[in-house]
Amino acid sequence: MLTGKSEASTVFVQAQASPTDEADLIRAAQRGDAAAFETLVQSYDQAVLRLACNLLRNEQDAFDIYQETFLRVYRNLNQFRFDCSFKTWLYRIVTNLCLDQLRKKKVRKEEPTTVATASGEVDRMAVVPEANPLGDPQRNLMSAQLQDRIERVLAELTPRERMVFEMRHYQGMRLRAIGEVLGTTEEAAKNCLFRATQKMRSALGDFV
Amino acid sequence: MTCDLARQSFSLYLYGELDFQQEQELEQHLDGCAVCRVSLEDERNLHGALDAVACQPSAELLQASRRELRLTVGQLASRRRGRWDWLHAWFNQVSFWRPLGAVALVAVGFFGARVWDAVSGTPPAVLRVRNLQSSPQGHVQLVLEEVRQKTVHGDLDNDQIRAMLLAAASDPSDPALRARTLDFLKAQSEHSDVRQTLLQALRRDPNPGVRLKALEALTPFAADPETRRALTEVLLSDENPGVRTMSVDLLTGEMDTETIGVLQELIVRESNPYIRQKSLKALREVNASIETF
Repeated sequence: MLTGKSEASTVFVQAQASPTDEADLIRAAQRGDAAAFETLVQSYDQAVLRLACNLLRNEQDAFDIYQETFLRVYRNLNQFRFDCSFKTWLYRIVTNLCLDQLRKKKVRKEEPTTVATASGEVDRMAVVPEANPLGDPQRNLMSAQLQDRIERVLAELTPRERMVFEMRHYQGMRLRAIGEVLGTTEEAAKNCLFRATQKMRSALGDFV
Repeated sequence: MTCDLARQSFSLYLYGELDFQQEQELEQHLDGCAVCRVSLEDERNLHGALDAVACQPSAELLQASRRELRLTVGQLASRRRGRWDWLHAWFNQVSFWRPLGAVALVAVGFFGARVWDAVSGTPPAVLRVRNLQSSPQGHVQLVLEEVRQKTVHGDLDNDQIRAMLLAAASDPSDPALRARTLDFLKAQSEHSDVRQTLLQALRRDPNPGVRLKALEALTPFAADPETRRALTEVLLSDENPGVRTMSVDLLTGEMDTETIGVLQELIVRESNPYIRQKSLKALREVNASIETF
């Protein structure tokens, strides 16, 4: 019996439109068909949310990016002329929004390394819950330290390096497609990825 | 190629973004340089560590985002419709139009519903005419294809959910969906239909990421004869070095005479030095010859 539970073991089966169906969906949404627009959104929204979550490392920011991205799609869909794929057009919107947000984050003051508690100031890392409290404590510590170090290195990349790395490593996009989304050449995207991985290797090389 | 240059290209090599000549040069260098082979392994570990910090948004966040968007788009759509409000105001000013308008709306609704029902029933999300025929009475018969989206929730051990996941695992349009589906199916791999789907994905899926997911899910069954047959096929024919590396690891976990024969054959035909090295090591460990006679 199917239930309405939403636990960790729950699955969400998502229908994906083929390219021809997608063109039909876009045309229907351009004519104002709300169901077609919703189907179109749901074909890509998990990827958009994952991209935003990974880049901004904050669920509220990712939620805001999601809303702004699809509202821009809704408002400007009539200007979409099929001269590139819908995915490229959508990714241009979401990557621009994320780049703006990353640039804003860069100029904000960095978070302090300590946090105030009832028993005084303690190190942020000391209050992070253990991933696996029953596992090998030395290994857990190592993995928590590595994770922290990776987060720091990612935060130190330039917004553009971060974006290219995110799209290549986590979204599995080819450099040619990344260049198309970011309005640059494959070669420039390759250089950006190269710089990002060099920085990560020099910061994490001794850890792995 | 110098060691420095080789090391600088490791990352692009692992992403499969080097051109043919660069890849060839790097592999030739790796063939003769044990230090760089170790460095490449470190780089591979670094890639693995980076995977560990990937962030997967929760189902709750996705649902909340969809709810909020639906609400905002609904408001925007009704605001767009509101542009016709001047007509409504004019109707209000001229009092006799109101009952007349109401009668007209009822009539349109009544006849519209009858006509619409006769044609297609409820309006579908996407509708396409697949075929049409004329009848002697002058009517037209249309064959329509509807596409509707539906969300279902359920536990992984639910048969209906599993059947849908098995279908999604071979959806040709979306490799990311197939990879995610195999991740879910991993927990159900004791079922034979799931195992068959995993084996099929390993043998036939065009995307190497999906094939790697299938391999990961099949790891507990590395001793099963059918799985070993599939691993052997993949090891000898898959074009992706990552898939071949993982296959050789799973096969060499339990060495038998058949595996020894496969590894001897592999050494002759394998172009990747790292995989060749692994095969050699496995053969040496069981004191097997490194050549076929």
